[in-house]
Amino acid sequence: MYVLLFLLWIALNGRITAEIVAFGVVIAAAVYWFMCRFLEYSLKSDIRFFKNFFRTLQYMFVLLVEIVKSSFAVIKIVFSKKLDIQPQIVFFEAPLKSDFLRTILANSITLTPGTITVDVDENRFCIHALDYTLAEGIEDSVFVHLLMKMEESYND
Amino acid sequence: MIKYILSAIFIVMGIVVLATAMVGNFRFGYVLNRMQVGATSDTLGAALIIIGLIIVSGFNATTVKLIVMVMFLWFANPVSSHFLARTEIITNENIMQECEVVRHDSI
Amino acid sequence: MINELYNGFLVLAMSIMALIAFAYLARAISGPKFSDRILAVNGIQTIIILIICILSILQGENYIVDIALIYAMLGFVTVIIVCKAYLRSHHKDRANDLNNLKGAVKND
Repeated sequence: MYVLLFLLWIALNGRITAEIVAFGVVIAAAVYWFMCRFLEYSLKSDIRFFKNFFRTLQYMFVLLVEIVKSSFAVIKIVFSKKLDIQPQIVFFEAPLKSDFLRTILANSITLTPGTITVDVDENRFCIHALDYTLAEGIEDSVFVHLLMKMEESYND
Repeated sequence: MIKYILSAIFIVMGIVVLATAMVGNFRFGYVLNRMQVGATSDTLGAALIIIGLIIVSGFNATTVKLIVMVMFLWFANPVSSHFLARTEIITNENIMQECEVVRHDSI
Repeated sequence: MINELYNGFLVLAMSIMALIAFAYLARAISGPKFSDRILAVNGIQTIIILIICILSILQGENYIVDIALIYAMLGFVTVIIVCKAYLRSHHKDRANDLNNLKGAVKND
């Protein structure tokens, strides 16, 4: 994470000179300290991330594929002649325990076109879907399975 | 030569997606349905256009900034549309007429 | 040659996106409800951000993307704050309405 912050600083500056690098080291350290102190971030999170690196890449890939697939479904609905849709509000439960993974799941559900997370209460998700076909089988989708695997590795 | 054409194709696709969001915004009758098409198709449209720009700009600081940009949009857009949907559902008196409610949970 | 052609294409793309932004503006004016208007404002923001990004490539300047980034952050904060203020000003006793919704429905 420290390296990421440092690279962000370099990228926002746009060029590399000695003083920019020196300031970057100091400022990235300050921001990292702030995150550890106030945002409940720790070195453990970094280690977890590296343990799950390939799963994260796989998750991103799956997310991209899902976004493109359901975008086409939504575009088809928009340009269809009659617009016969049945909007639904679906309540379902996902067996995730950590808040971070719940946030990721809610975010990716909202990011896929056609479904929006309305509310998350403990592990109960409330979702609005544009059509009933888009909400089908959402309670055991690919996201949930991948995140479950990640959570198992958290407990080790 | 080829990179210009590739980037033009991506940008045209992005504009088509944005226009779809706009058309859907006018065709649907209810806010939540509009939100589905509008706010979420915007994400894909933005990503496509920025990919087109990345292809043409090559690898330099602008590219990194554009990637940061698209990451920020993808993290921030779901949050704002979630908030909007929540506002709508809490303040609407007769939400039950607009959409049916299905439950898969145990309570 | 191809460079000039591409620049012309970018200008064309920017004008089309401006037209889409105007369509959103019409929706923002005529929207029957509060959420319609906020949604339209959100769409306009996205389009403006993309126009600024295209402009930075067109001009070949580095710092214009920073402006787009700041605009994105500002727009995000705008939507969140306006929604919160609207929710606060709404009836307090309907605050846990989602729970009422949960109680009212039939099981599937």
